[in-house]
Amino acid sequence: MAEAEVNGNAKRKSINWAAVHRRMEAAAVALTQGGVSSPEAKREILRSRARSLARETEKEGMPGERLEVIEFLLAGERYAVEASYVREVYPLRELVSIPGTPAFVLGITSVRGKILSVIDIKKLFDLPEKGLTELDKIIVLQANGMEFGMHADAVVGMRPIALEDIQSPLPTLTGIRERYLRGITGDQVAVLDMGKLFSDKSLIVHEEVEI
Amino acid sequence: MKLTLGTKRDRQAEGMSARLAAIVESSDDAIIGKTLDGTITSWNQGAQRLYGYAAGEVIGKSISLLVPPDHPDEVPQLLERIGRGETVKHFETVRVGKDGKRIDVSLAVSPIKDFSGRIVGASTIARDIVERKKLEGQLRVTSLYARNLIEASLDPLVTISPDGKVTDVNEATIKVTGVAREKLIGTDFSDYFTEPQKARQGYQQVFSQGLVKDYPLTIRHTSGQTIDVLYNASVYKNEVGEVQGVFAAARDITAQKQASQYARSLIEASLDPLVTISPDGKVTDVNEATIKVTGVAREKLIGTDFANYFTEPDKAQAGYQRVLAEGFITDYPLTIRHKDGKLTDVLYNASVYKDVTGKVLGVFAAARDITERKKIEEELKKHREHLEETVQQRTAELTRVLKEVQEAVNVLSASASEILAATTQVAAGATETATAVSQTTTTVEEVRQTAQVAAQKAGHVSENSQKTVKTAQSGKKAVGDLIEGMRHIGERVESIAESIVRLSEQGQAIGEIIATVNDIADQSNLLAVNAAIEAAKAGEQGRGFAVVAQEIKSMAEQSKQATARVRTILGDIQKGTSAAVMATEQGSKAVEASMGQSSVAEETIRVLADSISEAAQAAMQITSSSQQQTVGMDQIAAAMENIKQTSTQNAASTRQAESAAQNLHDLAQKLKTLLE
Repeated sequence: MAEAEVNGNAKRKSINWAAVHRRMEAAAVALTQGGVSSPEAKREILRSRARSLARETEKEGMPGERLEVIEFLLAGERYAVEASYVREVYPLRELVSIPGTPAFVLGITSVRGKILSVIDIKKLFDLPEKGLTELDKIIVLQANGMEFGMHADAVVGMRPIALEDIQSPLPTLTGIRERYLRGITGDQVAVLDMGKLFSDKSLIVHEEVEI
Repeated sequence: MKLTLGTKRDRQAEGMSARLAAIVESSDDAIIGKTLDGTITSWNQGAQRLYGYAAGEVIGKSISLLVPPDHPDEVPQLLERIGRGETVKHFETVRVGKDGKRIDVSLAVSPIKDFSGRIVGASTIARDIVERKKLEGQLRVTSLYARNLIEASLDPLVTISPDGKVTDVNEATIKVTGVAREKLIGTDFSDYFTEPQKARQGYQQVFSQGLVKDYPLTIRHTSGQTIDVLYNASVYKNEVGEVQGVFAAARDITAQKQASQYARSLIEASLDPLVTISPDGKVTDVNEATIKVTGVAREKLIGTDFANYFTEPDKAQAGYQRVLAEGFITDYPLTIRHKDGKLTDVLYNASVYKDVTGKVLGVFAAARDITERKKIEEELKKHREHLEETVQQRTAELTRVLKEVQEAVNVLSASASEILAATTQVAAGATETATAVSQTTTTVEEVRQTAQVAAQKAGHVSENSQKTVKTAQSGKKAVGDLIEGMRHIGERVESIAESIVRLSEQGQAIGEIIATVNDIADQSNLLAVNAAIEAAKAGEQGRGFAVVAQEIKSMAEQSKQATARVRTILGDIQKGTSAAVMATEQGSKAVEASMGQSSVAEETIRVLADSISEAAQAAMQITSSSQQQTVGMDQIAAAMENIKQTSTQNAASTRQAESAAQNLHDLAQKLKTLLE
């Protein structure tokens, strides 16, 4: 009986072991050949690079005054800052929170041996806390001898934006957001006004008070 | 017949007629005259004697009166023949007399004519032939009878011619001589005797004297044997008286001689004194006993007076005279005187004895000595008297005993009644017992059959149990194999789980590597951004550098995308391995459960096998027990059969006892009645 049942199971769910062996062999072959691109693949890569170079040329021919910005992601929103204010971007490794500081100050971190304060513009702009964010990048900003890090989820890259593309902020935006926002591009990137941010004295923390 | 008178011729005729009539009238034969139509006209004395009718009774009537009814046509036929002129002679027929008796007659019928010669009637002369016919018959029978007598005679008979030749013999002669009839006839008569001369003299004496009587001769048989005979012979003559020869009859006297000797010796041997006396009272013969009782010799006794030897000679004389007168006397008491004076009381039985012609030859007297008897009678008388006394004593005793017996009988009667009652009860009980035993026997027989069936069934169960035990053992082995197989499967499944876990761990290592690669790609991206910033700061000189930075950025992004894909694949692998681990875990658990179940099954089968084994043993025990039981039941059945027979016998015995008790009871009653 028992044997009969075993036979029955075998018939019901018979495994084609030969096919399994064949598939395993194929996978092994694929692994040993891994990394070595075929000549067609290499040619395709080269071709796409050539195209991208060609497009860069088209961009230079863009009419009007242009603004070089660094685009970054934060809480699912796209933002951009003028590249002239950016010293560098840097991965956020450690962050030490400082008690007695405003909520927008996340803490301090060390960038190549230099202490740098990090602010959270979500708090600054009263943006909704939309789920968890990576918060593993900082954009180091400097102007007028002042230097601080701005926290970001991801840095998209540097791009030029035509000034005429930047539209005025919506009238619904008021308060601090209206103050620091330069405008929004056609592709929904919020361009921050760094000049105003650096000139705002509310950002400066009175150390004497804090100590 | 009418006669007319007148003329001389007439007168002559008249005289003749009268004579004729007298002749007719005196004839012994019946002479009847009648007319041609059968009317009787004359009837003589002979007719009256023969037929019984008187003349007056029948004249004028029809002759058919005499004819028997079974001969109706006879007379008319006869008369017709007569009418034609014929004469009928010696016609033998039958007639009926007045008393209705049939009479054999011989008829002679003649016609009667008138003067003119015309036939006017018939005359019948009838002769009674009854006697003649009888005589004829007798003669015929007598002759045959005589011859048969002669032949059948045990005595040799012979006829002899005057010259001494044998002319005829009978069977006895043939036998006694041993010579055939043909050879005997014609031979000399004297040849067949031991003394031929004497034989010749014998028959010559017959011829001369006419007969001889008791002429002794001895015939010699051809075998040499001789037979003593006495011859009686006489001449026989023809009708005219001429002597034709001698008829001689011999008698074999051998046996007679022997008988006479035998009788003589009987007489001599008799203890009773026997004597024969002549009619004048002389003793003619005596036997030994007479000689003894008288003491006188035989020679002296014979010829002397019988009466001389008794104490009362007159009484003795009167006795034998009475015998002569009356023929016999019985128990005539006399006393014989012996020569020496001794007296003997005797009782005489005597009778006359005669010769063949009946002439009294003398008295035969037998005496019986009663001296002893008298003595005995005396003694008997004494005894009888003594007996009388004894009887009286005994009777008195008996009366007393009878009383006791009566009492005993009363007790016996009562006891017999009780015994009868008890026996009747016992008989009823025995019959019930017999019935009960019979029923029990039947029941036992049924139980015996049931036990046999049970034994057979137990045998079947035992066999089946043995088979089941084998099956259970093979089942146990199969389950053991199954558990072993399961254990192997369990081991395999565990190694599969380990392999899969190892794979999963390797997938994790790959994930770590991929994270590192992703980090690198990220940093590369940042570097590219920083480079681009620097290029932008450098202005027109940084333009080429910006393109390179852009290219690096693009590669970093592609790396990131690749790592994301690898990460996705790794997630899939992780899910797959988790599922596989879970599946193997389930498989492992299933195997364990199966093993557990198999163990349970094994245990169950073991228990089952043990139980079946026990059951088989029990069945075997039951079989043997049943067989013993069957044997036991057989014994019980036999025992019951014995009991049945015994109880049947008991019942029968009891019935016999009952009947015996009944008899006893009846006997007691009868005794009681007798005694009361």
